[in-house]
Formats: sequence, structure tokens, C-alpha cells
Amino acid sequence: MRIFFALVLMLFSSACIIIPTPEHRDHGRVPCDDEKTTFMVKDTTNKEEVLLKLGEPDVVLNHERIFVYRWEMVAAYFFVGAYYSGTGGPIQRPHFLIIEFDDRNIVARHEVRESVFSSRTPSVETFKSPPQGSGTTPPASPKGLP
Amino acid sequence: MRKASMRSSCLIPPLFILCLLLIGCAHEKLDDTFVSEPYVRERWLTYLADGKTERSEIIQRLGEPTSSFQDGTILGYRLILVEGGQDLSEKAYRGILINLDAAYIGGYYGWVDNRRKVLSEKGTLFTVREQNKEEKLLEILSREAEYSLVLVFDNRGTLARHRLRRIMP
Repeated sequence: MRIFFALVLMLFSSACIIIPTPEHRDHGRVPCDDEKTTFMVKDTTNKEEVLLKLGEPDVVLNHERIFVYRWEMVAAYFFVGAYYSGTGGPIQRPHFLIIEFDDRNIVARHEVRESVFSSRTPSVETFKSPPQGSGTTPPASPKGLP
Repeated sequence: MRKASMRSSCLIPPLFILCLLLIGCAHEKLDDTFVSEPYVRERWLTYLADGKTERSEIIQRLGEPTSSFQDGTILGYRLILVEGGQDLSEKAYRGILINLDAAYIGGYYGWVDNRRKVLSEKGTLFTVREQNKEEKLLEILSREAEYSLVLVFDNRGTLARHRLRRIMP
């Protein structure tokens, strides 16, 4: 049964190819990646500095407590061939920089998250800090971030 | 000695053919001069001076801000570089998108460079707001560049600090 399924899959996807590439920017929003956020120091950098350095956020949540910047990077290219035609294009990977401020408008948390498909795009709830003393563990920090 | 020179002369035709084939891979470089922050500041935002410009003057020139932070002490303007004058027609919009796609996919930026030059002379910096997003949808989708202007005011309403940042492309 497995072999049959694999054969059918091969038959239908024989004209498709996905070429993964190192992540690079095509022509969208300028990334707010680690390189651009080196100035940000937890418990030190204020909101004004963040806005002046990164510009307006794409999403503002919780009465300016959370800023979200979104940009896309090309992670792969796909090509689909048909009889006498074909198509192809980049596969974009969305990235999110999430910054949380405390009551004094100072950076309390910041992290970069990424996702290939929209179904894996983090929901708004994940951007919010867990309530104090709730016992829930905070989301794991992505690679390379404290 | 003679053999070596013969061998090297044999290499010339294949190299020539290779060069001919690679001409198709030639890649132009996109000219950022007319969309760079210093140029845009000099062309459209010369009146912004820290310690001098009043909040009311900025609002008079750029309109209501896109966003406001910290009880209005920080204003944000989302500015897009687009064709000036009348609203963009659907035909013109489609033309721009087709040419932009062709340029970015093909790597030949002549059309884009020319558009940027024309915009530097006849274009305008348009402030995008929640209220005008729908009516200016075609302009927003076909913008050549997008900027975020952040203005910080002191308690007297005078511009204290500001920064223009290109966020697209």
C-alpha cells in the first residue's frame, strides 16, 4: 500500500521541483533581523529609540505594550512543469520581530520568530507574556536569542 | 611549445561560445539614488529641523499621522513614493505591476530606474492612513518605495528628534 502511495505521489509530483536556498531578501520590507536589533538591550532601551531605529511597527498590541514587525525572506524556489508550459517562483518565509515593553516603555522582551507556512504563523496570543504566577512556561527562545 | 600554443588556441572557440551564452545572464544593478533616504529627505522633507519645526506645521504639510505613540509625543508617518497628480487608473496600475515583475524576475532594471527618476521629479510622498487605505489601494500596491518617518516632540510641541527609514524595497 505504501509503495502504491509513493508511486502515485511520484507520478503527480514528477514535474515539481523545490530548490531550498540560503535565506535572502527578494523585494519586500527591510528585515528587522538580529543585525538590525543589536542596539536593543533588555531593561535599557526605550520605546522612542526602538521607533526611531526600526520605524513604525506593523502591528501594535495591548495599548502599545507589544510591537510586531513582519518581513519575508525567500527560503526556496519552486518550479512546476506542464506539457508546453511551466511556472515557478519564490517560497517566502515570514519572520516576526516581537518586542514587549514594560510600564516605563522600556524593552522587557524581544525575539525573532519565523515560519514557512501560514498555518504555523504564531498567533497573537503567543506574542503576549504569560501572566505573572500562572505557572505556565514562556515560549522557548529561538536560536541565537537570549 | 608549439603543442601548448595549439592547445590554448583550441580553447578560444569554446570560451567564445560560453561568453555568448552567458550574455543572457547579465545582471543590472538597481539604482537606489532616487529612493535613498538622504535624497527623499532633501527632495520632500527639507522643512524638518530638530529643535525648530512645530508639530502643527508638520501636520499641515503631511496631514494627520499614520500612528501615534506615548500620548502623541511620538508620531509615525507611513510614506509611500508614488506618481503625483490624479488617482492611478487600473490600467496604469496593471502596467506598473507587470513592468515591476518583469524587472525583478529578469534582473533588468532599466524601467524601474526610469520610473524612479520620473518620480523624483513629478512624484509625491503620500501619507497612508487607516482612513485612506481603501481609496488609495492601487497606489499603495504599486508604490516604488515606502518609508517610515518617526517624529519625537518635546513638551512644547517642537520637533526634538526624527528619523526617516526606508522600509521597502
